[in-house]
Amino acid sequence: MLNWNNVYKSYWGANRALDSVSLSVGPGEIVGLFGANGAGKTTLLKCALGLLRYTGSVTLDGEPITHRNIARLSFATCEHSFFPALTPAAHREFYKEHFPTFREKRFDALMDFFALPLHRRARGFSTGQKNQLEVTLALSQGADYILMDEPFAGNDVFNREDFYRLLLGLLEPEETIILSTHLLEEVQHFISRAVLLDRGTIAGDVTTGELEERGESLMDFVKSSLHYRGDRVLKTLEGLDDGEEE
Amino acid sequence: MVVVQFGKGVVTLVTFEGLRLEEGMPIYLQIIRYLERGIAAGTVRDGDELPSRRVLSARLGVNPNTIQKAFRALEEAGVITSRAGAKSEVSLTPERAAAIRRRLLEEEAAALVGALRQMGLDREQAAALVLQLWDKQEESP
Amino acid sequence: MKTEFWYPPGFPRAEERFLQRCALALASLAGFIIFLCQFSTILRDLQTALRTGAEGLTMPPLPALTAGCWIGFLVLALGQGVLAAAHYLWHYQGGRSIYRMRTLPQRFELARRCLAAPAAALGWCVLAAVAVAVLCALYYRVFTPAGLLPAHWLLGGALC
Repeated sequence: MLNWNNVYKSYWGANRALDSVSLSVGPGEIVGLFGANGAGKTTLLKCALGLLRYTGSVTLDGEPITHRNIARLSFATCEHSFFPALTPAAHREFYKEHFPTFREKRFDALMDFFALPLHRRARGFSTGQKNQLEVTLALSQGADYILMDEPFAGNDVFNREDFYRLLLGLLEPEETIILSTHLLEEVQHFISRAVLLDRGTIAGDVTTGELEERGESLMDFVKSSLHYRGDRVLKTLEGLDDGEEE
Repeated sequence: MVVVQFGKGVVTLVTFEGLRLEEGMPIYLQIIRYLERGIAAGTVRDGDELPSRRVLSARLGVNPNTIQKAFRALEEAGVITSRAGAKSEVSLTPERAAAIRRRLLEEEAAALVGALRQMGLDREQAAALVLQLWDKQEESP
Repeated sequence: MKTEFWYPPGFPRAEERFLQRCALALASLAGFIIFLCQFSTILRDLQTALRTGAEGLTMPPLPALTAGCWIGFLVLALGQGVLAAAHYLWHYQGGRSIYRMRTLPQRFELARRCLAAPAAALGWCVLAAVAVAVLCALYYRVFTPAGLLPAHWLLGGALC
């Protein structure tokens, strides 16, 4: 289990990115993490990885996360954590050396699937290819919990759809994915659980099974949890209309 | 459908290739309905194999839990049998297949009847419309 | 151990090593040349003074003539601090590979790759400075005329 326990993070004193968030994610779950920009999704993931200082604790199977168990977490981020000056082949060597659990076959299969050039430096890739390399590395590390922060920014929809399918075929039952994304409609069948963040707190947490039982779409769930004002657009347009002849 | 030859006889794999997911209906129900329609049409027969949960999950782009839900419902209804480590199989007697076929036909027809009634047709008008469209489709399928 | 082990991944280490060696050579050369200039100037002044009848003059002791020789080494040493920072900032280039380094199970990997080369260079810096000092001492001893050699030429009374 990956547990966030009363995690509190503020930047520069005033801005509360996470306000006493507690969340529990178990093996095999595919969790979609949703929320507006600034809601705290990235902060939540970075705290788990120890990339940020925070109050509270994040534990993995009851243990705090240290260099001893950090290999069980992997990270794919739109900021790109790969080494731009290395080729994918060099990355493969690096990962083999540093991660005993490295899944070499999966790495090769994903490189093949994305048709990424093995011997070109990563900095020469297109944005889409960079995202693909980032995701490949996170999935091949051999981690139990794969944290992904907007990994598909800049990839076309066909790419993404194929990728979700591939993932569903590749993942072992005990591998867990936590995916932070804006692409609600796309991922709603792929995920098993949706967690919604709003201004640093959890505004909603539901399994897709429950949503299905209720006949509620993911978008409806998000809108109702965030008290989305659907009439805002019309109200604004009406306001503009009043001041004009035609 | 892929035809695989085993020791005795020919076994067909139900690939779910023709299943297009729609909005509005739970996916697990769509999977069940797809299989039942195949049974009603006679294209899915007793002994046919289903793909593994993981493969079907990847084909449809749908979480494995959903596939599991569909398979479990089908098992409970006795339509398929599952063994550990092997693919699930369709398990039909002619009576059960006929019952499923009857039920699906009734559901489709009931939906049509409901729609026609809602639009204000009476019994004779509905029958006449159905017969007219039937003849039309016979001429140009 | 492959050299890449000691540098940030993908860092142009061959270029860095080349520049380090050049810089060290320059610092050493500069150090010796500064000494040489100071030594030659003073020796010439002394000899001129003697010709005009002054007496009891000697060369200043060695430390006086090596003042300012170490400037190159000092710059090089300070430069290692800058280099370590550059190694660290390399992980912010073209992405955030800093995240990768900070989440490795090998907890000293980042420190090693940032600090190893600068630390080694500091060591070489010290060695080279010592070598230059020895060279200056030898030169001083050999090329100072016997009559002009002061009593405590090496340390100049520093320990008396």
